[in-house]
Amino acid sequence: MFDLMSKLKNYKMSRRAFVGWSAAVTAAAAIPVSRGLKTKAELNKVFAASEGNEVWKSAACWHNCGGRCVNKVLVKDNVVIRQKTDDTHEDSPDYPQQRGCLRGRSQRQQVFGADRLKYPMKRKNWKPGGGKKELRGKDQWVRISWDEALDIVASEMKRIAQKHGNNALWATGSGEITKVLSENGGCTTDYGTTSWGAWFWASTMMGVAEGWEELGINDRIDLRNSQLIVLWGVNPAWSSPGSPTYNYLQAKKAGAHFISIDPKYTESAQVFGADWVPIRPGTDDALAFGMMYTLLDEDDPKSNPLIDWDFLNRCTVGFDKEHMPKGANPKDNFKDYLLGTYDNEPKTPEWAAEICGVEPEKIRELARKIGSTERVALLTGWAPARINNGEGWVQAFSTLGFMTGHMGRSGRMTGVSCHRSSGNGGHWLVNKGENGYPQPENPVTDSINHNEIFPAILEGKFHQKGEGERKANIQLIYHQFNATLQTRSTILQGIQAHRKVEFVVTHAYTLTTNAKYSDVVLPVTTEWEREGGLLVGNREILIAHTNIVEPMYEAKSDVWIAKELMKKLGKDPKKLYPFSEKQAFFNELASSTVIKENGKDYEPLVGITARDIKEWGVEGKPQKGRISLQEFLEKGVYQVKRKPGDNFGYIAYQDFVEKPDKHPLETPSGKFEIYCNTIAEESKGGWTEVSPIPKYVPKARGYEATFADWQNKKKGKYSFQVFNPHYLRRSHSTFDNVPWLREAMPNPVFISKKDAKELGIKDGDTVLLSNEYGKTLRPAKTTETLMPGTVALPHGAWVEMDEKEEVDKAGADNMLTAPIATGLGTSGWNTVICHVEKYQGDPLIEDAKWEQRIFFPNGEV
Amino acid sequence: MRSSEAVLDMAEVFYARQFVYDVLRRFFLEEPSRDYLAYFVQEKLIDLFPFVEESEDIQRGIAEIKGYLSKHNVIGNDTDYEDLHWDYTRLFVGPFDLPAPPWESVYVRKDRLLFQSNTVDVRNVYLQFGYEVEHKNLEAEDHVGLELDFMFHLNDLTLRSLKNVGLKSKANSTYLIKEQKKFLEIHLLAFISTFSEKVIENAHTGFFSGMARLLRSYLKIDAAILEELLERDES
Repeated sequence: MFDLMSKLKNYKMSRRAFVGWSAAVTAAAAIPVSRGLKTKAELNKVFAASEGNEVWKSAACWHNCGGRCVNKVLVKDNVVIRQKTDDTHEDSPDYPQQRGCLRGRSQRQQVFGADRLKYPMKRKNWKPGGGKKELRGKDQWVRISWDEALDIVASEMKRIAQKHGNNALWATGSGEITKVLSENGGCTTDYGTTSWGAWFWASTMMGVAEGWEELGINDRIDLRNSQLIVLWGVNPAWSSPGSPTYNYLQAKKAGAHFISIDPKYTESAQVFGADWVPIRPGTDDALAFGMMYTLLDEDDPKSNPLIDWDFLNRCTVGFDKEHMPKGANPKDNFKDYLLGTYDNEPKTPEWAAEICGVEPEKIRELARKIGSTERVALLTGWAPARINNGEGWVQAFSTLGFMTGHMGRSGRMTGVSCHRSSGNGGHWLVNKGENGYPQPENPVTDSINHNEIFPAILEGKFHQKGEGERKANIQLIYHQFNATLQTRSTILQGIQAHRKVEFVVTHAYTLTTNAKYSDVVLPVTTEWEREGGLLVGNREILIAHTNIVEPMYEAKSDVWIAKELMKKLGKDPKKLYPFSEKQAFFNELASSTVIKENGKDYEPLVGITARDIKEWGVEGKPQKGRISLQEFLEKGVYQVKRKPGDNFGYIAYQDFVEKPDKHPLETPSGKFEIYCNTIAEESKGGWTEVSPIPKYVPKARGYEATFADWQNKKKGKYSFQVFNPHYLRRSHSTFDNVPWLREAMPNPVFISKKDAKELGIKDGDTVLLSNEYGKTLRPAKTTETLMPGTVALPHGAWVEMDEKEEVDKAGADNMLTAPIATGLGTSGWNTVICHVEKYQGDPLIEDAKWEQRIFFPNGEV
Repeated sequence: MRSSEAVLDMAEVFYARQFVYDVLRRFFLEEPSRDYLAYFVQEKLIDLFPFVEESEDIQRGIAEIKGYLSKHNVIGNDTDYEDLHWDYTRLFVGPFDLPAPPWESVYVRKDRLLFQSNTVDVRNVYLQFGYEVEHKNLEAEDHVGLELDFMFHLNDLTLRSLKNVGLKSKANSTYLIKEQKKFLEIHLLAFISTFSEKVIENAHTGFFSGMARLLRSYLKIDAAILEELLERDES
């Protein structure tokens, strides 16, 4: 027993203390407690615990992971207690479920994690114009009200625009704030080849699909007709989670043989039992040239037909001097380039082997297999083209398809097979509607290539594509909806640039790298806290997600922030947002369409009644649709049911290949252009000139650059090639903070056993990767399934600089990426070189045990 | 006579508790305000902290707080005030990694997520007594500052109830004491020692490490006090 009474008597809890306590509390009562509990207005309505029923709701899994899946949450008493994925129908190969992966199933950890950014905050030393800008990323922070935060942002926008002009404002990526600024004099923007790499521009110029809007491969049911499937830098198991891997498996079951050409023996290659052809990053074009040389060398139309001459003659221009487009020099034809007629360098398998690392005999074998097999799917991801000087690879890969004629026919295809269309090409069978918000035009024309943004800030100039040098004086960075500082080249330079400008502001729901180096951070809601929305995935589905919880902490939507800024800038927010976010969601639903049974026409997807409209409190007209509004939102997905022989199949380029004259392509010649003048002309306004025909060029930071003396094969200072696989712990940079995923996927750097042995590196050793742009650390994972001379550094880890701000501990890929644009403006994420060594400093602890931006008590599992 | 004396004695305990919970809630709920800090320092409120002899940890906590305040002029000097303010922000608000997250859920749940059943349990207890956060989801209800604030309010209700004489009033105050004991044991004491340990390890100021000591040691004493009050009540 505490023996309270005796203590009260004996201790100094005399009358003095008693008076002191009560007086202290009474006097303090005049000083408000602003964040404490409030007395509930309606006392009669007592809590509703245990009254609530459990209900499954459709929740967004909104990230750009390359897949798209159904995600459901079980809500009980306003708490999300469990998640599940697609069980809206039985699973079958023809009509598969859209099942989520480890990331989607960890979504609760993002939304309800203790590391949410909860309040508007400002950097303590911030002052108008900057205020100790060098402290960005390490200053103290102060929690502030929304009103103060928005005042700061709006007044800095006005001040900087007045002082330096509107092009001093840079809204990164795209989003609501680009619109706000467009209404207020405009802003500088940025662009680049992102996921596509060189497929972004070069492909469509020569008549080939880029792989997102237009698809160059057949649909998944036709893929089952292929006898040989070549996965050239394609790894759906890591890069297109959800149903895509299943598509390829059906082709496997139907008897297809698989070949995987990749620096790494991928998880997909394992699943499909593929023959693995290891290759160096950025040298795929060399391999393609070696194969095409072999085809030309060994082809005999009668005894050994390897080349589809009929296809080349009917569907392409530029292959040989007899088929050149108007105005082109006949000597510039592709065949003579392959044979080395004029440059005295035949592109033989031996020539190719020295560059790409594939044995000459293997190159010949590949060429023979592809040339002699009747139905081949030549599939590539975007990754092999995410290289500097990558246009030539896009041209070469496509030309291999033209030569072998594996295009436009059942079981035969050549093109991009990744992201939303991995193993499943074709136009959308369900179309997402429009929200109807206006898209204002941006009056400022300054548009900066991703590789030049940070240099533009630091050096004051950039190359305006198609025009030439322009001056830059960027003084405000507005991160609205992206991970620019994390996912563009050269993070260290980016940090410097962030410390140079007058003002930086970021919208975020956790402390992203962008947010960390800002002056003001604005907490935004996740999709679970918003009205709802639609998400596209593979061509057969449209996903509808709904509101799961009310906005958490002080977070607000991006649209709310945009509206408030419009007001602070003296503009009517209705100009950009004439109606509510709920109405916007309704509009999207109402204007979504689905393909009719005839496989040609479309009709409204969602059936809407007058009662629905009344309940939603929106404006609209009732309409008939394939699925009722209520059912769509409850199920969370509409999926077109497919079966072999239905009207929804797709054979890419079929009409053109059958009748090229009747269905010309949108190229000057109307055909596939092996000789493509457009590419060559466009590149003159770009960074480096690109040849009109596929030609091998050493990449800016490619394999050749790892040598000090290429002729004598003497290695240079940065002797390793780095490439960046997508990694299941993250979707690009998103999810990297999630504890479950950190534990499941430790994010090592992959090194070949051979190299590791030479460098004295063992599994788990901390390895330092470095070059002139930065230094980064990772634990080693040694493997026999990686091309020697290369290291695989997974994409997207959140940079974590050490105290001296010299070494990143997280393995952020862009610590090492050079700020180089080439050709039409292509970025070189998979052509990076570095030095590799065992780290001499303190070894890293596992990421899962980091007290990174979230904290865990010790001793718990 | 005897009974009214007892009431007065008990009232003293509730005033002591009112004082302690007011100090603790204010310093754990939000960044220290200039006004309250001025009052706290000028009126030497720390000297009024009760049960000092009961716990070396409380003595040490008071010494740390006094030591800090003697070296840092948090009222007159802006930098000193801002450093103290920042210590609260970095420990409990962010935006960087939180060395001492202030939510019960983080310590008692394997998945460490907020707004799960633990948060809702606490929310429902608040609602039972007519309290809530300003708007839904503004803050997870199992924030240490809110839990302390809730104890302050229940203690306040108890005090009021005690001022009335009568059977109904006595039953009411007994009920309130029971509820406080329950809440303290189920919620605050479930995480406060780990939480305080984290604050002590990571605070940059003796002020907050001292406060954490007062917090963890006083809550243990408070549990004993509540228990004794109930025992007396029954006897």
